[in-house]
Amino acid sequence: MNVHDEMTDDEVLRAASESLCAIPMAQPPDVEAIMARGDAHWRRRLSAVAGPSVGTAGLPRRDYHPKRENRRLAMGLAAVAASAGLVLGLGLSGVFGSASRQPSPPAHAQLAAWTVVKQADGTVLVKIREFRDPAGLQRKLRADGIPASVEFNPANLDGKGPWAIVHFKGNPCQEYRGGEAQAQNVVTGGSPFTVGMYVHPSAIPSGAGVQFVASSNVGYATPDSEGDLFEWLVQTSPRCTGS
Amino acid sequence: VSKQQKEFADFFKASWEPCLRAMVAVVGSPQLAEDQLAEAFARAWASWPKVRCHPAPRAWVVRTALNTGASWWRRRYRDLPLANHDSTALGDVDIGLDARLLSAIGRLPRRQREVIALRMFLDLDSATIARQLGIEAGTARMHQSRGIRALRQELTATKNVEANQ
Repeated sequence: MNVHDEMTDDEVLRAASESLCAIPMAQPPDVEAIMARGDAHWRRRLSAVAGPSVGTAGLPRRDYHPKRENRRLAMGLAAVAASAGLVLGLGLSGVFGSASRQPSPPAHAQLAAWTVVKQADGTVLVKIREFRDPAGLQRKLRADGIPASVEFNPANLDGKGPWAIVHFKGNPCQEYRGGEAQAQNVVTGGSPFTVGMYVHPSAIPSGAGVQFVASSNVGYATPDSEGDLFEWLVQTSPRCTGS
Repeated sequence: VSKQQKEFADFFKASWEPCLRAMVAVVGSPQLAEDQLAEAFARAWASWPKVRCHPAPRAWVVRTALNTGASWWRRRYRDLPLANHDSTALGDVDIGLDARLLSAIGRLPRRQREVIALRMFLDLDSATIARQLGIEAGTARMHQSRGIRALRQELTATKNVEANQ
């Protein structure tokens, strides 16, 4: 007879559950950050219903009606999609217009912590060796035409999960919504400490910038070190991207 | 702090870990599970008047997390083993029986993993699981039965090997 012939379903499930408990889990993100993001969902949904010209911050939550909202949201999304098509068309015109200009010679900035090299085609190669001098890197990226924000361990984020890292308390930037697909084209390449990242300014959607957030602010960015670097699209603003 | 905020905060605090474990059981990667779960909790707060009255709010969160999909940010620098949880995925844990069980869970078909995870960590019955996953109760029971059978076989095989050594 086999050892576990007599195991009940509950015993099997308990054993499986205990095996998963062996994996240490991340500490939960700050609930304030979760709620702030939830509030952003709320404002966005109301904006989609009421249109961008109507202030929504003071609307009471009890006005929410899921079915009615879904119908309105569908109409709102259709309008947004039409607007997006217009914006895309304008964006393409801009790209074609600038393509006729002669490219400027590559500009180099060789510093100890990182390297930024503007390519002839306008893309910007970024290599990071150390998570130091985020302000300098931010200035250089902006000078090369990238609406950028750079934050290295802004709130002692070591060991935090990705959600907490990009939503750190006091982040001057807000997520750019609707840019998930474009984000894949804005930053290409690989690891910043080996092949480097290529930032494509022409792929950045109108009204968006790029934020780099690292969970460490010290040490070399080598395969032996710990740390995370995240990039995501954010809304441009004076506080976030400088303009 | 309003009453609703405190209510949600309490719910979040009590529910994060069981929901995260359920998510890890389904998606395999603790990092991806955390991403999707955080987004789902944000949506839960956005719809809190509805979620708080839901018969199984944790199940609502997990189902939403499962539907959330990939993150909207990209991790650029972490293709290296680390000391903390982020390097861990199902089947990668070298902890004997646990490792083999984790691997067995990871090999289950997705739907079986979802049913097993909701049963294990949220302690839901088949009818509630079925409602959350949008399937028939009988189908949920079938997935649960097959999943448990596969896990039992893994347990049996492992223990028999150990007994013969």
